[in-house]
Amino acid sequence: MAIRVKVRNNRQIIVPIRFARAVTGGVVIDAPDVDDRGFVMGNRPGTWGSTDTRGSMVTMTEGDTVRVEVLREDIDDSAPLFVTSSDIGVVSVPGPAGPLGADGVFSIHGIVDAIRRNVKIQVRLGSASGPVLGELEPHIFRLHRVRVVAHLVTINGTPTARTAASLTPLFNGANDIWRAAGIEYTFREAETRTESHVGFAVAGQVGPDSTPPAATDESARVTLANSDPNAINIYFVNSAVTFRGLTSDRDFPANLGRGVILVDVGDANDLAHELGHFLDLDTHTGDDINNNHIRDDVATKRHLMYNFNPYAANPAHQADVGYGARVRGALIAVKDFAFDPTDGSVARSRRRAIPVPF
Amino acid sequence: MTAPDIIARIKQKDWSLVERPGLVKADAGPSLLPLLDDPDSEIRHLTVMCLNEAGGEAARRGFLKAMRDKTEAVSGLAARFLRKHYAPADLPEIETELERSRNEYVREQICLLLGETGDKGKIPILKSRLPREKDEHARHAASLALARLGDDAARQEIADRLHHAEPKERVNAVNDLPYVNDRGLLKQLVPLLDDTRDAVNMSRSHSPSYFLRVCDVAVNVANEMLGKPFPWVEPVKRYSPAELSQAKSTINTVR
Repeated sequence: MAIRVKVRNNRQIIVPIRFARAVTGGVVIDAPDVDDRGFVMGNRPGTWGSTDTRGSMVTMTEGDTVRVEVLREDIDDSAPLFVTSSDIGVVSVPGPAGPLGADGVFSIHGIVDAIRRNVKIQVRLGSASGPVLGELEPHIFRLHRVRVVAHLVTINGTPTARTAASLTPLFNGANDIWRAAGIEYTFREAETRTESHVGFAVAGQVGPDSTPPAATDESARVTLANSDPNAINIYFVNSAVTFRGLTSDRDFPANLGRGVILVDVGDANDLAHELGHFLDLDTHTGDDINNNHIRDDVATKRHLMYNFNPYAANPAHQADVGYGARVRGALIAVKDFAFDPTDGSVARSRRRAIPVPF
Repeated sequence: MTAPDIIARIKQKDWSLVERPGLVKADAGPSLLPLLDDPDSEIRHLTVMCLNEAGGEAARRGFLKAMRDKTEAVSGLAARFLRKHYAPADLPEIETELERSRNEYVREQICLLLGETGDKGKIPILKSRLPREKDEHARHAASLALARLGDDAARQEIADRLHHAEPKERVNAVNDLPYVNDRGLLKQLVPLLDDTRDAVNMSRSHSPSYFLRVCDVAVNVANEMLGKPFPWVEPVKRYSPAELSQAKSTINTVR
């Protein structure tokens, strides 16, 4: 079936359809966000190799089935659309063979983590062999499991309000986010440790770091205590002066303490964000390479590694970027644009997730 | 601790076995090897950790087997530990794995291991691997291994990276020098001691930035490679002009 287009001024880009997350609101484990920034991807020597796919990317764990939505941008609602896989050895499109339903949601089943064997999900017009209207590049990852050990911390007699039992849903929430990158944090309530500190400036509270960071910083005192060298150590405290979460990863000097600190108001998104920092995602989305904050658009706020949660709803139309009012998104960047130092997050974090001890 | 005790604790996924050194002794090693066939990847993972503690012949055999494990964390870890446990007789098997492993981290570790053999006979293997290696980290490891073995082109590549325009690239090259393990290359650091551009943020994730400069990282690496001649070195410190000058004088005397 041919599609006739009248091109104006020698150049016209037509976007009949786009791909998007299958849900809005909170994170749902089988509905990952879609990395829809940019169009032509070309050669990606550091990560995924060369592709002629033009469009979005989505990631998932091997063996999972996830949902993605087709948004009809510039095509009639009644036009029959069919979703196909270019390589059913890598991904399949389960479900009825007929045209896409009215809700626009289809499923992708990740069969195998096939390194540098790029595959396309294609939306076609009229039939499963019709002309391609849009392409999505899925990447399937074998699951990496990373062990975490939780610490319940009391400061000057004021403990964290969390309990070992309350941490299980928190880690489950963080794992829902990281599932798309094929990473799972293994938490066991029975391994949870407790520590008590005295001599801090304010009960229950971790004060700001000094510059340069020092072993006398309250954050250092917390993270130097009772750590397990074969896990990511996560210290839960009542509050902090300047942060919801704070991370020093394994590149940080060991004598200053390594691990994550999370305050009681920190949620699963904050925990997932800090774990991203631990897995080598040092730079916040929207920052330049020197950590200057330079960008605050909607796409930036959809990223897990955006700096602020909740963020300021300014301008007002950015009040909800798809995850709820002023809630930072959960997209872990899979695209790897050279101009953005925060890109390629999936590849970087997966590499860092392999070697232990931490 | 007896071997049956260790096995029982591994099966319970008791990571305290490897939290502090000394619990797993060499005599337990052979008894642990069957656990590398356990269907649970975490048990295999912990077994590899315990074998590293045990050391000896059992560890070596265990790592050779586990570097082919289907779970990347297990195979990657085994390959890394193999670097300090392999025997020369294992090299043919290891080189075969360099060609067949789908785990890029395993291939990276094997390249580093081949460089650490000190055997210039490994240069053709690494050179042959270099253009075919698709993963950038494994390719980088092959290049470093060649430099360590004295390959002129690879050494020149490091020298070029040390003088890259971007501070971060320079620092990456500086941090590669301890692996290359050639004090002669330290002379290349002298011009970097005048490079006072910010290069590496050393603060925690949500704390104010605190950057080490190219010159600071160069001093830290030189201090490590020269056996710590500078008592004023600290991991997070911006050095004074006097300290940088002292470092320059010392490095200039290295032969």
